[in-house]
Amino acid sequence: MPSDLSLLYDGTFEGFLTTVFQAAFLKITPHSIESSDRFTPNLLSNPLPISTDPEKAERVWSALVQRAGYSHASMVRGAFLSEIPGIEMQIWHFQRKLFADKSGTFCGNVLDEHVTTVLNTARKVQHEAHLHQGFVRFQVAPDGMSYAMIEPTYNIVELLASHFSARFPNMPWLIVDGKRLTGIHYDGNQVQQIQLSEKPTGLAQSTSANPGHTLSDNPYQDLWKSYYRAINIPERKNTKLMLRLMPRKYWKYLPERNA
Amino acid sequence: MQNKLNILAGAAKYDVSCSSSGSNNATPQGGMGNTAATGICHSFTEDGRCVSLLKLLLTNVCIYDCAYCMNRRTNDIPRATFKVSEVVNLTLEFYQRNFIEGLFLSSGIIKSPDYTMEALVRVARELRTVHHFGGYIHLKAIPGASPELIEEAGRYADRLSVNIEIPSEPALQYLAPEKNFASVFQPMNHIREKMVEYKAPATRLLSSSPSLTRHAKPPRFVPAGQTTQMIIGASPESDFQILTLASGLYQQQQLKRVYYSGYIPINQDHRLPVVSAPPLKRENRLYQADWLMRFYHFRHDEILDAANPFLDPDFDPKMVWAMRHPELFPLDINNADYEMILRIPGVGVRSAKLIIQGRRFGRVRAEHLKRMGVALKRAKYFITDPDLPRALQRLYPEQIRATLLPPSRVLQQISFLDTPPPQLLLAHA
Ligand code: SF4
Repeated sequence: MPSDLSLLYDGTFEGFLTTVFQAAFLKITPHSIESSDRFTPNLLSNPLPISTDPEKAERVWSALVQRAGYSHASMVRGAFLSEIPGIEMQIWHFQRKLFADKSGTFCGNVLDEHVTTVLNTARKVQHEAHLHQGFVRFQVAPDGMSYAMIEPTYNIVELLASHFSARFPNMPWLIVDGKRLTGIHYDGNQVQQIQLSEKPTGLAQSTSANPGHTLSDNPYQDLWKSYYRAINIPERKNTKLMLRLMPRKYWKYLPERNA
Repeated sequence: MQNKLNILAGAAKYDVSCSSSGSNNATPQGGMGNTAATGICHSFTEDGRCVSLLKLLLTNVCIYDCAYCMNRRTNDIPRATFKVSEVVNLTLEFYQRNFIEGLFLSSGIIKSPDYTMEALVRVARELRTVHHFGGYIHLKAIPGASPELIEEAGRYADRLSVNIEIPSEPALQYLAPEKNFASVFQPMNHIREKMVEYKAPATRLLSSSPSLTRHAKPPRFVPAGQTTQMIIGASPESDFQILTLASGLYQQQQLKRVYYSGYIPINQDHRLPVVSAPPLKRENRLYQADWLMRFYHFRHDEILDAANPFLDPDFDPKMVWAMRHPELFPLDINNADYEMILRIPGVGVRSAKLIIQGRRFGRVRAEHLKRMGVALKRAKYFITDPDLPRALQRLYPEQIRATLLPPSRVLQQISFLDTPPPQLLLAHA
């Protein structure tokens, strides 16, 4: 039943799945599903906060995996990580159709607008995660710990965990999303998601303006910068192409570009 | 170090291959580094090229004198040589900071081909066996080096390459007196044969006794295959000649990639053409044609032939092909087979697959195509669809040409072809 309720969740995937559970329980089609920190109330809105319940979230997730298969369930999660306004309701419709489908082929129906929305959004998120497999720049601290900071458009930091733990199994590292203040930390054994209370300013600044900082790793950054300059072919200059492949929004933590 | 790096990276930059794709190494025990089958770009230079590997020459000293090369012995330039340990160390330090996917190591010819190849192998050997480095390694196979050295290189490297550089033998001999096609093809053949050889026993083991293979890791040999590069525009070959050669390399030599590098005048030499800028447009069209051969199942002689030996600067070769075949279009995407859908301008491999997949659920229409990533701007002239103006598909090739060109070019084109402007035709339909 259509309803004028805006369901508010805590911004996490678990919170969102809990909300899906509750909407199904109430048998309603909500007006919207929104993260409470992104919600702006107006005169017509009728917000209902939903508190996250890991058990309910787990039930929705396993039902999703069972109906859609793991790869499509991951795409739902990927689309969710885009944080694009309105993506929650798109996913909601996708799941509603998925659970109503008797044939078991719904996810393959690329003529359905909700399937393609989830697919295309997940692809954009995957693409940005792939870019960051390349754009992450570690600085090695004297204690052997490697640090990196990124500010991706989508909430992709958790999607980098398996790549970097497989590649650097014997070195502890930390990758921080400087905008969302979340991160992933690998202790040489396993990866954990972490939440920061404030932006680690030292790490941010040592990439450019602050050569004296303890975290700075300048000799190799300088070599890297000279290398980057040396391999450019001026006769082939094509700034437009470079900007398309490596947009300015990613330059902040790339030593070769942020000077 | 800074200075050496500048010289030896600057000297390596004209080798355009920087791909780190095609290999699937897991991280070695106790080491670091693996490879991603798709390859990963870590940065992009101002010329828009992907930076994936630390691309270096071991030395820019060379006993040869190729006319087109900066490092030829008759050039008076600063020379430098890396120690093996310097390259190894730089690779590891850069890799650990996630600056790179691995190493691309080439070299000028010092003393002899074997001496040079041996030095390249030493770097790779040390990275793999001493440091348990699992990242990407691309080595140059030096023409004239002994088969044993090349084989050893192939056991450590993910990819080997031998550059043809000049796409016809007479021109190669004219510009690079110490080289000929045989010197290039001999190591290429050798690598191809070894690749087959190394693959064979693993398959045999797997099929006969699965229990034996559980622990035995099959020896690897250039899992990402071999590549080559040709310089475009330093010698007079046509695009048709170049594509014919490339097509042969893909089919007979089983190359993974052929790279095309627009000629940049580095040396003053009477044997070389005088050009003001590298032929980037032509290079780009060659890459598009190459793409058509590798992913769209085009034969090289469908793209060009002796009567049309050059690619069209105004349109991509797929569009040109479609315009040359009005008898095959417009196409009903709800009935056409995959191979034909793949040939519609504006339709990529992914969208062609999505069209086939979508047909199981209903009629595929223009609105779906957009969300599948089809470029309707180009495709609309070649497909029938109830949502598209029918008149579009009745345009003659010349008119499609005129419609798609930028306005200033259209005027020229129309007066030249003396056909009515496309708007007139639309109004009638
Ligand atoms: S052999 Fe290679 S490095 Fe030496 S001059 Fe010829 S192209 Fe240059």
